[in-house]
Amino acid sequence: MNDKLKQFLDSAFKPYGNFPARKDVEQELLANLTEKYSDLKAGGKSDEEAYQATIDSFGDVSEIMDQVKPATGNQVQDGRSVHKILKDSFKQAKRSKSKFSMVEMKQSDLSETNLAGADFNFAELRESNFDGSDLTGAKFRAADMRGSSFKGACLSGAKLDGCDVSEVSFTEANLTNAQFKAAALKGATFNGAKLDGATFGWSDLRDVSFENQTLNGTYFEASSLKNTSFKNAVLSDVTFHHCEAKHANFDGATMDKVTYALLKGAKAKLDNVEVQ
Amino acid sequence: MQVFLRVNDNYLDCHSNMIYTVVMIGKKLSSDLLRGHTDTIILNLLSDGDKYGYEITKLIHEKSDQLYLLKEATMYSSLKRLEHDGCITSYWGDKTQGGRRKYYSITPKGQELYATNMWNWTSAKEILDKLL
Repeated sequence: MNDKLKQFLDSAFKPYGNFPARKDVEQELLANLTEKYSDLKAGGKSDEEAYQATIDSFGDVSEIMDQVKPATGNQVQDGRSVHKILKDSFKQAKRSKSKFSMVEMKQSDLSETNLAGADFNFAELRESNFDGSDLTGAKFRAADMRGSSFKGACLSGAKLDGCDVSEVSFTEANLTNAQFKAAALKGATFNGAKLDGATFGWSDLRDVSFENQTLNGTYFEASSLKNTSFKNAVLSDVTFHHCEAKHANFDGATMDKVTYALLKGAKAKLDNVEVQ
Repeated sequence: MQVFLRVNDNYLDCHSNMIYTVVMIGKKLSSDLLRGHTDTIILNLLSDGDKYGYEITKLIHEKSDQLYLLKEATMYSSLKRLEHDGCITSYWGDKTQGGRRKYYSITPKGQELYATNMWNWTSAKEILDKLL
């Protein structure tokens, strides 16, 4: 039972990452919960009843996190820094035989083209047109794509670390599991785009609109969300880790409890939000 | 005394919207009203001697004749807040079957806060008793 209660605590604190006091906090709470469970059992409850009553009495973990120091960020989830990712891909790009990497292709028309897996690392692609193209798993590391258009393109699993996509249109694009780390996204538009499982880390998302979007498993970490709008969006299993959510707009949004708790912890304004 | 009166004004202000709240919901006491007093309740329990987390929840449950079950998270955040403010200190106790107990003890600053909160409560109660 101890294991089951430990699992319960582990999953309750999971969204907050490894904050400094986590081990101590969990150890102390586990002692409390275990003793409560034993008391309930001694009072004649079954294993299941006692477990249920114990976790029911736990309450809202975000209350605890309001009082505990959060983790200090700047570490990419997989332990590699953005700097290292870019350095490595720069090396790769230099060695690469890809015809697109490190090339200048300003204002190119690459619409309706099959470019799945293409390597555009370090390419200069300003104001290019990729509308309706297949860019599944394509790599755009540190590419300059300011003002380009990806309307209806498929960018599923694409890697866009360190790229500049300011003012880029991703209208109706498929960005499932796409990855933006240390990317500049200011003023990018995502109307009707699919963003399930997409990652936005250490990125500038100021003035970006996710209005009316459905976000499933989307991951925001250490990103600037000033004036970012999630109006009327449906958020499920969305992670906001060390994000400046205070200045984002969540009016009319619908979200699950975990997302709500995380945003509440980040002091987001959630007055007009529906929790499901 | 003027300072105390101002504190009481604020205290009544934040309760004014609760004046119409039904305090008894079935047999359970309205926990919102009680939550605001968690810190004071804990300080009161600790002035009788050092205690660990579960002991505090259990005592509150017993002393309230099973009417008030404080959520673990609410109690814990209260303990952390009081500790941060220097009203209580903590030390690790023995290992138990589950984890380790952490004991809390009240500091002179905590005793002072308890006295102030009690004074506020008694005077607010006096006024609320006349109005409710």
